[in-house]
Amino acid sequence: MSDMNSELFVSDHGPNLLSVDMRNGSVLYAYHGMQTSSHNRTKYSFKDFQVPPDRSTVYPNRLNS
Amino acid sequence: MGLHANDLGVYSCTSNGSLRYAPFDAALDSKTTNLPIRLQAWRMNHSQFAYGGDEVELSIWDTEKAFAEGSSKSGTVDAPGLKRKRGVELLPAEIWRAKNLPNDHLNLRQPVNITSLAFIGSSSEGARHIAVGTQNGHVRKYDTRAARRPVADWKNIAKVGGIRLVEKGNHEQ
Repeated sequence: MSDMNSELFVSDHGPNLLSVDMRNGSVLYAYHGMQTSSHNRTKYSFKDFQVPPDRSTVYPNRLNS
Repeated sequence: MGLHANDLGVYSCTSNGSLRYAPFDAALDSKTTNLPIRLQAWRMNHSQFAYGGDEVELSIWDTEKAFAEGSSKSGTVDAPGLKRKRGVELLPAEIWRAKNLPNDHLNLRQPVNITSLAFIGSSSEGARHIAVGTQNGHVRKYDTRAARRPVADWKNIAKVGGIRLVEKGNHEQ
């Protein structure tokens, strides 16, 4: 057992992510506020990304054409 | 449901048990084989893969043999729409299959509902150690060389809706 990887990451269908010790099943540490992927899709959109004020530095070819 | 890529191609597995290998080389044909239906977890580790699901026990297969059997008439795999019968012997490409937990204190059979699995041993050990998460929120550890039943069964690890994913951690002893 000593050569075995002893940590296991476990997530549930809620916002919890746990690190479980595989030697005895105890929870080493946990995050209880992790957002699920569905929350991420609703929270972030293209409107949330800021457009650089000087677009010539980002799209020089488009501005020249 | 399951996806794995190596240098030669991509393996994909669907919940209805269709395992497909698509090589990157366009000159080669893809190969398909049938696994039990109602799968919910599928992982590959080197030359072996493991799966589990709704009333499908954890099972380890040899990849090469699985496709060799699939190319011929496969009468050993369950027909579509039927659950696998319990207690049958290993299929030709099957290396190891877990055994369900013993009945509970009311002598009722315990349901099998695997939602995620992960190979947790080092690469040199092959597929010896496997961690499994269940819909009931349990995490089980299997040692394929020790027993068909789990060597550890930790209950109520997950708090919300059962185990969604188990993954090998970074911390080693």
